[in-house]
Amino acid sequence: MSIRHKKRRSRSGFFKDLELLSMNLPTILWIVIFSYIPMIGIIIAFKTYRYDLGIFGSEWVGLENFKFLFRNDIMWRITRNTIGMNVLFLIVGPLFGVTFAILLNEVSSKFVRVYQTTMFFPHYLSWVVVSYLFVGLFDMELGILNRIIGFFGGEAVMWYNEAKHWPVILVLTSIWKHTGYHAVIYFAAIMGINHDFYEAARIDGASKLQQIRYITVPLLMPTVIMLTLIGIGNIFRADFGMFYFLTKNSGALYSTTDVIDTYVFRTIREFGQMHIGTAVGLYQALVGLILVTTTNFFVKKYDKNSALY
Amino acid sequence: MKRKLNNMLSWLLLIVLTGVLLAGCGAKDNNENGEKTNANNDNVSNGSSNNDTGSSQKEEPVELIWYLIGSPQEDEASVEAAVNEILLESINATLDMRVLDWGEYDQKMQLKMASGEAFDICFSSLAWVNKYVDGVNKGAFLPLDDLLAEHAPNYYKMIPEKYWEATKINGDIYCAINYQTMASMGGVFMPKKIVDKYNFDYENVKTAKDLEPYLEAIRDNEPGMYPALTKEWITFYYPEGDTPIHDVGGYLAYNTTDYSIKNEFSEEDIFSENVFRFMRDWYLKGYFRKDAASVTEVESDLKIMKYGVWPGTYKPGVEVELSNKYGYEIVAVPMTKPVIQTRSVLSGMNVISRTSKNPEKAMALIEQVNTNKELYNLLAFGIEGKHYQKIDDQTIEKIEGGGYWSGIAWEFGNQFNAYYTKGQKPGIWEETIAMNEAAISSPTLGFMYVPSEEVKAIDATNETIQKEYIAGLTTGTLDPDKYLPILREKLRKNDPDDKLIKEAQEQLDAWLAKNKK
Repeated sequence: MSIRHKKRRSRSGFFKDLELLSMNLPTILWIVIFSYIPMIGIIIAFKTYRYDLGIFGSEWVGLENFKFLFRNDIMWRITRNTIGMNVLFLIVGPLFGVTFAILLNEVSSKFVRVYQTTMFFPHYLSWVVVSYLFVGLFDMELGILNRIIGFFGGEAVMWYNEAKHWPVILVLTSIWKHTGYHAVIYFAAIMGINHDFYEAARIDGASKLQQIRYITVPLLMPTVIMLTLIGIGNIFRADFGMFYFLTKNSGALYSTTDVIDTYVFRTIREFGQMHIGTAVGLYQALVGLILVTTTNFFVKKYDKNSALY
Repeated sequence: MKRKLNNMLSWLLLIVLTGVLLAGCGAKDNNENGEKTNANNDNVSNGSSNNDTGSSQKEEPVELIWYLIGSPQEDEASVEAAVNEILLESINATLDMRVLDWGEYDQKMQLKMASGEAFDICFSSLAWVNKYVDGVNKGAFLPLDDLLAEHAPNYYKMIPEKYWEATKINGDIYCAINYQTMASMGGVFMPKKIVDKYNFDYENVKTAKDLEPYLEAIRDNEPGMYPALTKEWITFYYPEGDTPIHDVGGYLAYNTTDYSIKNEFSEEDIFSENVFRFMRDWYLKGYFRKDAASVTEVESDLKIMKYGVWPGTYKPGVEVELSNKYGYEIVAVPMTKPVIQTRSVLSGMNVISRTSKNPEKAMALIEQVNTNKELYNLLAFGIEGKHYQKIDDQTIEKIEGGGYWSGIAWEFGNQFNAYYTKGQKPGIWEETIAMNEAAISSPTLGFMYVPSEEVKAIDATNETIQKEYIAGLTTGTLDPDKYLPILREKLRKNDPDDKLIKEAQEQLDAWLAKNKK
């Protein structure tokens, strides 16, 4: 049956499915217009862009625009910060997400909604708003933290001048902001787990912890892997709002908080050089693509079903 | 049969959907194209055949688009109508004034220029917004030499020749400068109340050192106040008094005795090192707030009189201006001699876009704004009786709630055309012109450094390196003995062959050879 069907398909395949294909057309058009046609702009990365000559008329400079990135150790620093911070986020995100999802699963269903909403709330705050909350926390003179430190007789800390505190602050902020979001996803995945497993485990005398260890966590792994994979694709792309607004773009913090996105933003804003910005964007995209493909390759080796494609 | 029908239906659907999509995308374009063709027609009928401003009454009037930075005003429409009455009469054009907000102007203009939007005039400055040299480098502005001579002869003559020299890039003028305070002069400002309280003899302050007793008094007796405000760069003036150091884009400097360009942070040029040590000294003495390096917004603190003294640009009448702005009485002390430099001349100007359909008319408008007082004041303050009222012949007062008070008079053109506003001392325009004329012209007035693309890439990285330390060093938060060597090392690594300095030096030498003396 299926063989016959296939045969028929291959004979007049394209025209046969025209109706279905035509339904796709708007989407295809949309993608072509908004995703592929703008890609022509990529050539700006290899040119010196002059307004009067236009994209096509401007002079070719080859890889000149990329050189600026590799000129000195700034590139190393922003790459390290970008990847380092993102890796930290990728580790703590699922860790806290899964933990809280399991805890949510254990509390009585009456309160789940309350907990969920409270945890989800930070997710909706924009980084600009959070940055003002931060001023309240970290202001040198009036900030809550320094007042507490002062109350116990400590020396006030100049948060916005000392780079060493910021990796910790940013990771904590990320946990605070994203845990709710992750927890909901993982909670949904837990809800999808067949209850027979737990019942069987209980009959065998498994404790709560054992149930979590041998049932919940393994069955959550595909979801975790999937989300991590998607995250790795963006590992070269930092959350601009977070790194720019929370640090108040303070120069003294660059050594730990300057990431590719903030660096590029400053460069373009201060120098108005579109070609450099495009070059960095292209570089980010390429590295992202390579990272996703390699990770996917390894995941496929480990567990075929968890891979993205 | 049925299948055929189905097929047809799906084709129909496809066509309709595509049509809708394309129409959705196209609608706006059509409109814009329509406008553009209109403008084009105007151009054909007006621009080329008839440049003469007076005699084109029968032709369709031209609409000129002018971008400015400021706060958009409620009642712009009635002002525009009044402006257009004058303009239709004099140059057969109308004005579409578009004021973009302070925060968005720079970015929006970059986008407009990059996308080739058609407009006629926009505000520009050397180092502040819509940067002049960048715009010229990218081909965004038109060269104006011929237009100025032909369509704005009176305005051209009105501005002293030496200022025009300062606008030239590769020998061409690309902007119409706004005549205002042309000399830059450093000064410090203090709240009168505090000065009086401690009986501080501010009038005899000559160098920053002289301020110390005053700062000490505030530190010891005014718990709610910071003795001094630190601002980046501006602090460079004070320890050495009036050394005219010129900066060449960013952090390259030269003095006017030997014209050799040096890196301000290098061992060869210890001017900045002295400044840093000086700031460190003040920091350790407790004259600055501890977190000065990360404080970016100071205006709100100035409004509540949090600082005992702060530096800035001195000009006649500045005390009144600042007192009005902050709401308490302020005294000002000039600290340096007035010097006219390329960058002080180019602090504000208007440029004509390469996308302008009617550059001749645009220039004619610039001529009008700079020579016609009525038009200038209309743009600056609105309509008499509606937006402002006259106190006397020369002085006016804002009518609250009138809906128009541009606040950006200096952006339109020759500021000496303006009425005095309440609180301003009549005669300060004359005083300012006198100061301009008495000021020393820097020997390199007219020299402009135009960095090449390669150098700009190096510079972009420098910016980041400096930013990490400069705020700390200029506010004394960082110890120069420890951090200056680190900064120097990093800068050297970024530009091991000193390309920045070499290129700037070449340009300066070429300029000197041509213009000197």
